[in-house]
Amino acid sequence: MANERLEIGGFTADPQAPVAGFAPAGLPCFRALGADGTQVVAVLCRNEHPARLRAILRLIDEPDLPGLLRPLAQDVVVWSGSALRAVVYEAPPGPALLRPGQRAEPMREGDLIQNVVRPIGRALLTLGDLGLTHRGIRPDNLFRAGNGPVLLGDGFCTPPALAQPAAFEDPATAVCLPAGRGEGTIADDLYALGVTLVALAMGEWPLAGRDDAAVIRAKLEHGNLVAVVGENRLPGGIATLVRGLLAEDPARRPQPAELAGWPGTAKVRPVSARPLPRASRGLRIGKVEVRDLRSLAFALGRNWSEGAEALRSGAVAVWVERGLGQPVLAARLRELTGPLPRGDEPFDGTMCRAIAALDPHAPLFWQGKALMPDGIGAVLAETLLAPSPSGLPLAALDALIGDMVIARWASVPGERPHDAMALDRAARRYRLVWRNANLGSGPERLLYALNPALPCLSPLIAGEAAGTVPAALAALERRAGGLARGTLPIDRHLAAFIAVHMDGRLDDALAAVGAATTPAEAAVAAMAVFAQLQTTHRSAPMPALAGLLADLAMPALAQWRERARRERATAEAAAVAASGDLARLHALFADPQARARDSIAFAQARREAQEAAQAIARLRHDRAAREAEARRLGARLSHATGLVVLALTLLSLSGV
Amino acid sequence: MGKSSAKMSGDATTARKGRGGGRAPLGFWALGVVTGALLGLALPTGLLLAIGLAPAALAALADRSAGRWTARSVLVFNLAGLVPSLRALWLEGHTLGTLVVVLARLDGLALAYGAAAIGAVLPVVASWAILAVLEARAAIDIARLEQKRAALREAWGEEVERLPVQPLAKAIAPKAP
Repeated sequence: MANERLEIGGFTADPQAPVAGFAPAGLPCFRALGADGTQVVAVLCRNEHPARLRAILRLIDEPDLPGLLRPLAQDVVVWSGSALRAVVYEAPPGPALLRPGQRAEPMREGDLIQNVVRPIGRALLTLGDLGLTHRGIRPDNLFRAGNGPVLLGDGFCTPPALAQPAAFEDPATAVCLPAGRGEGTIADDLYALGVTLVALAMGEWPLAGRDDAAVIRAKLEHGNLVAVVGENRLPGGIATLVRGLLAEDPARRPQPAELAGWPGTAKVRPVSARPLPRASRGLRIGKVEVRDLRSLAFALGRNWSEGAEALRSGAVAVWVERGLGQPVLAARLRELTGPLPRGDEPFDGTMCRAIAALDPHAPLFWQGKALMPDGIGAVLAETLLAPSPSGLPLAALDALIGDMVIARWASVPGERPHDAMALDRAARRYRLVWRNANLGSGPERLLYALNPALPCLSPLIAGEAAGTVPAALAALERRAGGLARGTLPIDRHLAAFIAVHMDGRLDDALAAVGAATTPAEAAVAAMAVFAQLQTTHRSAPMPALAGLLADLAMPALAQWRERARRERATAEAAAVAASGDLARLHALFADPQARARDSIAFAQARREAQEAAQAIARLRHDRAAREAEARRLGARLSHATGLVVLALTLLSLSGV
Repeated sequence: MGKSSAKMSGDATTARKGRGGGRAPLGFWALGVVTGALLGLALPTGLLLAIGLAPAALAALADRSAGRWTARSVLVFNLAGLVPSLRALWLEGHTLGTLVVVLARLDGLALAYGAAAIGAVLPVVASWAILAVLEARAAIDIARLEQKRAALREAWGEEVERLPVQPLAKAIAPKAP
């Protein structure tokens, strides 16, 4: 299977021809050919790190994408027995500019401005117009032919910024789970461009060899610019640009339009770096000693239990008041924590809100992990599909969604690029779906709703490429013949996939399948679902699926009261199933009007049978009454006969 | 059945009234006056009636049923059998001697007593015949109803009768008129 050629939206990928250095995060990447022989590359995405499908579809439709390697097609393919999303990109024009660990000749200022800053500025401008971010700007994702302008590589085959090292991300997103960094804003791309320019100007990656925690700590303690540039000297024009791009306040970074015409279009900005107030005496949270608010927030978030203890004890509020001289913030912290809670009371929500109050730019910290609210979809996929110790545990995710932590976090005043009301609505919707146990709801539905790139992961159609409902139906039809008799051809994954792709229009029908008390009842309810899908999507006949459902639903025919109707339906069921028309099959099994007529007629028949039985019982029981009646009538008849005889006798003797 | 029971009940009431009600003494006295007048004015006829209608008298005493229809039957048959003897008494001379002659003819009394016997047996035979007819009608009705039940079972299956049925006591209870 893995060696077969892959058809992806009119392109043919050759798994025997891998391409190194293009796809991020170790995703499989192969050479591919278009129908006209065009050389392209195909990237296979991982399900646990779903691609940004909406962005890809938007970019495929966009005719002009300057400075960007454009995605050409996407589809779901089967690779090593799994259904995966695959994306076809234009082939990179040349090698990547600078790989991790590689040392190269520093690029000249003019080359950087002309061939890196301006093309990427144009690319970001286009993306900004489309409402998209790239989140993959780094030296090994820039490709150029010779000395020409660079083209920006893939940033959409993984969740946003998943492959970005901590050095290329603002501390607020660098601290997040890689899958949970969220879409972010163009300001995040500008930051990554700033670090990229430093790397290209120095000829090596900055902060190389240091772990993420050390990189983040360095940025927090020394500021972005100092941490990234260090002791190195940058060319004058680049230094100015980098200073702006690495500004602590995202609002002070140059805009893509300025970059596209740099330096002529550059605007004058006030000093970007405004140092945070620092305390002369530090506060120890776990093993970390902090001296400013931002570091405190991050230390609390990363050292959850120690941070909770410090917050619970009031040490944090005291330090903020006395060490940093911020009594207002300290009072707010005390207000958030309320009366000192007992040791065994849940404190996670308070911690989350306290951190948000300390650093308005900080991400959502939850039980020692951090994520951006719009990154919850990818985190959910990672937790459910490939749980790892470094990810967010399922219990923590359950509490995060169940307690509407996102809404609580958003309700804390702060300068966040998120709409608090929208986040509140989203959090309520997530909880509603997450806790709904109906078929077509629950965690699976949230998984598909928040990750539209995911193909259907139902074990029923394992190994089938099903990225859409029609494809899932076709896959199910192919697999139905091989399913064991008595297998209901719908499970939680398939139901959730259908529910999401049908925008909730089949919620009731899907819930009915789950609520069925017998397999036959469930099969009839499933028929209703598949019949509606077949009608809506004008799918081809599905005789195998219909046969499987008909077999399973056969006991439901016993619900027909009228024996002739029952026998007729049984005979017809096989024929209708063979036709593959699920709507007809469903009507045969569950025509509500005919069912009602059948029930009414049966009630009438039952009444008649009961009356007949009672009449028979009465007739058998009334023999004594008949005997009495016979005696009575016999005596009167005899008396009447006697009168007649007497009269005749009198007449005869009178000589008449 | 309900109707006949009601009627029987009504007859019984009438019988009780006849025996001990206000009209019984009048009838009784009327019978005594008629009998006395008859014995006084027409002694031979009275004696012939007394002897010839003895079975009717016995039947009247024996039949305690409502309406005493068997006794009535015996009476009219007995009377019909005695009419030839009465005729002979009246045509051959209405005297005690003639009465003795008439009584001596055994066929006269035998006819009266035989007719009374027929009058006694006929209600039984007639009731047998009527019962046979009623039973035949009931059997036909039962067969028709069983046929209907079978047809219902054929159309709807055994479930049509397996579902809750009224208790037998309720089923056989007489319907309200």
